[in-house]
Amino acid sequence: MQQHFRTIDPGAGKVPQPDELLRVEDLRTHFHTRHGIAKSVDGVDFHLSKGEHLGLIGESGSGKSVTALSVMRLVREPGRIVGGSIHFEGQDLLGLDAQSMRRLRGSRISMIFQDPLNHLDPVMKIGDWISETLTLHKGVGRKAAYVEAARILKVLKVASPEDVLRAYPFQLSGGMCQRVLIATAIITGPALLIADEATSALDVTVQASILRNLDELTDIFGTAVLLTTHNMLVVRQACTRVMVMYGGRIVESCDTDVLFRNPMHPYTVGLLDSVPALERIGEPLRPMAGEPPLPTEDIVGCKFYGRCPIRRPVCQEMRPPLAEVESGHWSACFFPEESRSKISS
Amino acid sequence: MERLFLSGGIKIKNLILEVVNLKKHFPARGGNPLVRSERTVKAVDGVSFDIREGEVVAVVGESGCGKSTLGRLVIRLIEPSSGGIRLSNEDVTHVQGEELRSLRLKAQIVFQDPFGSLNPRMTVGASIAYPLQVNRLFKRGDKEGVEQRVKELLERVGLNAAHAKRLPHELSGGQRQRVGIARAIAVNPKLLVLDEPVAALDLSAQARVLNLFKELQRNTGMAYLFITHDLSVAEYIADRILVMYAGKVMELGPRGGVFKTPWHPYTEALLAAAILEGPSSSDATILDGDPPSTIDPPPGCRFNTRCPHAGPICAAEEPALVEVQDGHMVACHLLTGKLQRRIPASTRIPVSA
Repeated sequence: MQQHFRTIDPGAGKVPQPDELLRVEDLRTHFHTRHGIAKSVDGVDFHLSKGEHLGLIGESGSGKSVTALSVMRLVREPGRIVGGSIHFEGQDLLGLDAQSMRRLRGSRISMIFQDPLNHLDPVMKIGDWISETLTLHKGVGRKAAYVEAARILKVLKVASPEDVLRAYPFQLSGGMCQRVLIATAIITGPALLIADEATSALDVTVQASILRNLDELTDIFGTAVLLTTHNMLVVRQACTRVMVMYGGRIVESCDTDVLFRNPMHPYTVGLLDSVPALERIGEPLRPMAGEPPLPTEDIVGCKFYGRCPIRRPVCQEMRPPLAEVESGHWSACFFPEESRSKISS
Repeated sequence: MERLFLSGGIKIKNLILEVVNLKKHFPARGGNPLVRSERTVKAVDGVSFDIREGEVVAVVGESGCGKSTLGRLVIRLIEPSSGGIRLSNEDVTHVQGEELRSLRLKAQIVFQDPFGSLNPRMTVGASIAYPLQVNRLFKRGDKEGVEQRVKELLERVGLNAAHAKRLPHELSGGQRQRVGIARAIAVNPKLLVLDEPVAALDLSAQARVLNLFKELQRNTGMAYLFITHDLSVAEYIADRILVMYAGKVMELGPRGGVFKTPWHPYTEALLAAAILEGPSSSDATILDGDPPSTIDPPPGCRFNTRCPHAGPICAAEEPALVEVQDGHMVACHLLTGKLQRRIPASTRIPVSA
């Protein structure tokens, strides 16, 4: 067995980097349900630098949304953050009282969700909706806030921002509503924007255009992005670094192009092989066997054990730590080198 | 009436489906309830194509382009406003009653939502047995025969006999979709309309269901009308691709042709959006704006409001669907020479074999 673990934290070392914005350590968010304790987030470590675009990819139930909600401290009962720490701009978020947290949300950390129509007030004009954030957090007057809102909608390639500001949500298309949510989230110039499957409900052409505009906008404000998605394409377009999540744990973390070129975890390999891609025309799909484990299952070793094509007894007895295999490339597998060569040949 | 069809109503071997100038217009609701609305949603507005035996035709396009309406029209869940549909050389455009029912023996549909399309109170076995009983494929009281067939069908879609006793909520999304497929193929249809059948599934389940479709098709020789918004799924499964936009066919051709040398700017843009390399990649072909409303759609080419090449002619005149290569049809003024390309075609992707 290869022994090349250095540390279990992909941020390397406990000393905060100068440009570090967010550091999550051993985060555990559990849901106490009738069927037992669902460990939706089961020991997650990661960090995010200022202005960085980080992707969090996983299938439904992998814990990516709960991770995002945990950072916002928006996990609802019966869910609870039961362990770990979240440091944002040097502050311990889990130690903050509710009021300080509320002040942070919308001004320093913002979030956008998958279903834009459900996150807009149906009886509020778009202009009031967007500018309210700015008025509340920055004390900007209504008129000035409207001007700023129009300016941001322009960057988002909205043809006639003034008309949109006067409209109600039901008068807008899904893509337009999502642009409005993005504008609302970013108008205060937050340091971190969390996008939870923000483009999943949109058409590919609209998705591509929104992701590009989001990129421009976050550059203007220097905002970092944590983007959760199940779509490889989205990660590829929008993120420089990516983490793969499975069963509430991060199983691989590296630069985005490295992930597609040289995946180092059997789950990532399986995921890539089961998505039809226009770059790999003619190749057969090789779907993974089996289903992900239930979040209530008590698993000591690797959560992917039941479906893994290269498993060995040790994987069932011990949790493989997230270890740096190559510089900047982390994998939670005991046999990372075998992942690619053995499975896809 | 028969003159409508290209085949002239003559029997053509291998021809499963022939659709000619098919239209479906819905009255538009909304707006002021006191003023009677004269507006119509032109969901499908003059679509023609055919499907041969054992062929897979994928309909791709964005939401609202009319692809699902087209699928529903083809198996006559709804009645067309005008145009014609021939299924196995029979005109089914306006059939009713007993004739309509016998149509269901030839064409079946699998829906997108595996949760909503199964009766939550019926066991899986009962759901699959239902089409067999309704269509009287087994004698009344032939319980064993039905049971045997249900078991066979379950196995064919990768489930087993034990699943027959389960209720839908006990199954995963992928398993439910398999039940939907078993139910659809129960009557041995010649044509299966698949309306976004993998869109609601998780990635790994998606791959397995796609492989199941391929395998079924190889073994039974069924033809598919495969409706999807995902180009890479279409590429994986289809022989021919039909690109729809706002109720119209923009491009129709063999898979290799459409993906290797897309002619229509809209197809190019769809491909560009589906194979983006990274944040810094060239994005000249990324479209801005949203698809137009199919309520009173723009005059001329439906795509002219978003097209990077559009000129005055595009808003004035509707381009005809012209054959550019063998079986490869495109509706665009770029072809007639009345319009110049503004930016070079950029999305030709290297296709191996």
